Amino acid sequence: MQWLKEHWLLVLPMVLGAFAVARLMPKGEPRSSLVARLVGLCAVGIVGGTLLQPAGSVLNDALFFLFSGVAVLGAILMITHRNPAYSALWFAVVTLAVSGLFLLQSAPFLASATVIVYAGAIIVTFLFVLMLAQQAGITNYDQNSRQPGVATFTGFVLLGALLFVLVPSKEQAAPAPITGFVSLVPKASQVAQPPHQSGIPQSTSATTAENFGTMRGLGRSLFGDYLFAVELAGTLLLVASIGAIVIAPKRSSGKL
Amino acid sequence: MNFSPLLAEGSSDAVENLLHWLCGLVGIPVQVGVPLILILATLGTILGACSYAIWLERKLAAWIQDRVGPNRVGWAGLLQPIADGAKFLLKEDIIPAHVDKFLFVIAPTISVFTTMLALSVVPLGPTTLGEGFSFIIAPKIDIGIVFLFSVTSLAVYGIILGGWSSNNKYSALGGLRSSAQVVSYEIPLGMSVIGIALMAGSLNLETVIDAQAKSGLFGWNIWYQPLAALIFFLAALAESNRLPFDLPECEQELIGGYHTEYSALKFGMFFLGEYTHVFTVSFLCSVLFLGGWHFPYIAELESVGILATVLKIGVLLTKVLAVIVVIMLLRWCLPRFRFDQLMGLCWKAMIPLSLGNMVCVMIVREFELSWFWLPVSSFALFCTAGVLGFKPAPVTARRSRSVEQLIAGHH
Repeated sequence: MQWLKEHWLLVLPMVLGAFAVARLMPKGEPRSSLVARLVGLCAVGIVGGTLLQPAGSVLNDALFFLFSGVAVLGAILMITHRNPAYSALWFAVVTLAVSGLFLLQSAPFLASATVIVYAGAIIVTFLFVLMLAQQAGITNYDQNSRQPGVATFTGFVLLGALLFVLVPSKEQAAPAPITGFVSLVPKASQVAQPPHQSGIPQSTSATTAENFGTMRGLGRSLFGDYLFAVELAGTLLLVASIGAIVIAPKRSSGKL
Repeated sequence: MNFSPLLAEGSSDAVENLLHWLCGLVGIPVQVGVPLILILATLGTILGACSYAIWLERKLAAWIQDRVGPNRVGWAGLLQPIADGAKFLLKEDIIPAHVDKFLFVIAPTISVFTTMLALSVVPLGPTTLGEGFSFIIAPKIDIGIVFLFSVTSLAVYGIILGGWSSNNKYSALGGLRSSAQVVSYEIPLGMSVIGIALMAGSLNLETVIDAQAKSGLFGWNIWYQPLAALIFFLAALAESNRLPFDLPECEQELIGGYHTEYSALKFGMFFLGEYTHVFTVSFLCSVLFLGGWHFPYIAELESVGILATVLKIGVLLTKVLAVIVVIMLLRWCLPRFRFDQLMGLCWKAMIPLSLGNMVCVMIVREFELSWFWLPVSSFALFCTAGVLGFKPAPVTARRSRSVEQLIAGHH
């Protein structure tokens, strides 16, 4: 109970959000979803209010909340929409919003690459398949989600765990451990930090001021500090594509 | 009123002064005002230029086919674009009952929006790397051309959604073809530019022009990267759905393709998007391969002042116009591809060639060889592809295949 009292600001929106998403999942006949929508908006509002930390310029904050809000709402609409084509489009919106967040973090290349790869190629392929599959209109398995309760519960437990880890680190005013892409293009404030903050070797060339956030700095970092990881990922992709070619059925004479 | 900034003697920044003065007149901050004026000017120019590009295309088509072309409205049909525009605006705007309304309405706007947004990093006139005014809406964007590709890769949504939401078999087929085509041709398009980026050491289009302008007429990238220029031009044509790559709207098979169900202004917006894409492609060809605003003796790197600015704009626009005319002439010179030929050309010819070209540039750069080897390697790659692609079929095999086709054509 004590724990619940301390963390009710995190638990409440999780419960509300889970309820809203489970209600919004397509099941049977279309039904009124006004209550679920309001509850969902409340949940997003509470989380936003809890994590709200206006720092920096007004414009920056406004853009951040715009992009992150669109990303969250787009993600919910993506999993709850009845029409798979709209779901794919909401996925595209989520990708664009996340690219906007990358831009705010001075990672323009990452933003552009995400748009090219996800919105420009992968979701287009999804739509391509949907257009071929949906010749006879929306089918039964588009109208009914299989196990909305379990899926929603699992998803929100994961989300809650993530938030639970993120929020205390903010209160202790210690910077969250730098992982993944964030360290590729460090923020100006993180540049001066000693390198023992993260397990990943601190990039040396990308941290200088003139290379900050530029293609040159990113390239130096990727093919200098993280060369083996990049090569490994590249090899994996190569093996996967060769495997795909091998698995693909052979064309018998003149037929697909 | 104070006109003195306009008369600043010998200043290369006369245009900048003029824009600042305009901002002061309206009373908006310079950081917001200058891009705003540039955006408005570009938008207005593009809208006007698009309608006259259609006039030019019709006149060229008429010339090639030995006709007269539009000649009724105004002198030599010069007011025809205005009449066409008025028709687009005034025609009844029909939304068929069986379409998905939201996507049907939003598809043409995506088409226009993405192609217009792509223009924001394209140099539209003289640019400088250092101090001074650059004719580019968003100057000094480090990832310039990557941004451009990311935005243009979204343009396919307009076509695919237009095709899908129309709820019509012809439209859906057009959308399907287009998505496969555009996603495929993005690969050679991007890879042909990597060579240029390696040579200039930057993805910023201003730097690319600067690198070419420094070395004079023989510094233009087309001398060193003829193969990349060819691949880029062809892939860009395919990206903008121009003939001979306009399978998404192939009239004989698909009526109007993805825009079969569209009428009035929505159809006009698809048209506008396509022509804006052609402009972007022409600007990119001029900037990447033809030296941008540079021309020996007329517009050099050192030339400054208001006259030089005007000359540089003139040079760039002349190059752009030349590329547009080539694109329009191609339309009436080449028949349309079959769909499997289109995909074969991309995956079997252009992607391996652009990869090979990229490797050649890398070798030249890494071992600091003379740039003379670049055109040689391009030519060698081109010839190798030709030799590999040439397979004389035996006479008997050819005959039996033609018989098969005859049978296949009878059901």
